[in-house]
Amino acid sequence: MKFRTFAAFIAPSVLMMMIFIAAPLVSEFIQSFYQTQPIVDMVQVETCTPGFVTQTCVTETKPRPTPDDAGKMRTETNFIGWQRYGNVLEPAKARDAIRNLDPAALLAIDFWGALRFMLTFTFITLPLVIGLGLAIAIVVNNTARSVRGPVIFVSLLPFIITPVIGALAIRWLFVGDGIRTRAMEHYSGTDIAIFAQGRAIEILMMFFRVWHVAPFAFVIFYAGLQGVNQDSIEAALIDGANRFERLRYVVIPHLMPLIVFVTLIHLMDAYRVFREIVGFRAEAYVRSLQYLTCDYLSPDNTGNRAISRASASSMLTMIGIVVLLIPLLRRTWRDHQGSC
Amino acid sequence: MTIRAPRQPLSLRLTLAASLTLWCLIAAFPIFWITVMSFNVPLDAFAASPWDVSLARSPAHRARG
Repeated sequence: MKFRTFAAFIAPSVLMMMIFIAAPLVSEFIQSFYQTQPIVDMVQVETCTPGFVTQTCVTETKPRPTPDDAGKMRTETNFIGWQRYGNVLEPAKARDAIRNLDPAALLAIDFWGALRFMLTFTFITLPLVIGLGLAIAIVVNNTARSVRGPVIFVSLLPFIITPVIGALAIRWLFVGDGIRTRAMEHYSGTDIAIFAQGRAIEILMMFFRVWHVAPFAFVIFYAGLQGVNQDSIEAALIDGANRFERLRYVVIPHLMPLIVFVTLIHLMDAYRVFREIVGFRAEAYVRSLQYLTCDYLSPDNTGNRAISRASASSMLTMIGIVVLLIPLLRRTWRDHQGSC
Repeated sequence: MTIRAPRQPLSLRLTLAASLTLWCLIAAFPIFWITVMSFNVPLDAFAASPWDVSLARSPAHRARG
């Protein structure tokens, strides 16, 4: 293909990516170094309350926004450098906590607590999603053709359903005296309150993520299984390979690019965990960086939004994802170089 | 000549069928339950027996007549 044709072919995609992906990221990166504040005048305010004999008056100096000629609040934007990153990371507190070997103090800092949760969530759910997806794909591939269609449909249901609704569906089973909690109480003979414990909620959130994403891994692996080279399977049979060995040395190497693909998608998605926190109302126990970003963007009591802090938090989320993906991307690049 | 994989032993087939059935139950039940709940009142979510709720025989149903 001529370069000119190739360029014309991909230009619309590149343009859209520049507008909708690159430009917002650059804008966010720039905003993380600036702070916009309302311009205020410090004014003396006297507040009087009724009292016996005489009223009680208190005089205070309070900030008051200064409006412009049109009556709108005036703001000023200042360059603050890395200050917001420092506010999010709180390096001095983190250093003290590490020096004193005090993990509780470290995890009490929003960023580090969120990082602990996101990494735990990502690395516990990843093998479960890959393992369960692969297991379902292999079992469905070995089942009778007549039942494959309905089984594939049912297996895909958790992935089709809207994530927040899915999280609520799981929550309703376990909340308070939900039917699953009642069943567990019946069999264990003890009173169970899952939503009273942070760790139990975390496990439930991981269960939901695996339940929701394993069908995606399943459908990818199932498609991959349809293309397994039958000559390789026959060669393995002639060599006396048992089922496990055929799986280990023929099927899994064939599926490896798909396993890497699912891993990449899952790492990106799980590290940004958000919907589980909302669906399970777990923000009192665990928070992710994306949840913190959303929190910073919510107006505070004075109506201000911490946009620069949210931008810094968002940039740190992106850096985290890039760090997680580097080993896989390097591997993919090496494989690509090897196949050329 | 095509070499065929040896037929799966009965125990393996039963295990695979049981695992698949269990997975289908786990995959479908929350969605089935939320569908059932969409036709019920919130009180039914805490009923002692899911069967009673599913078959519209829960105390909340009886109270509504």
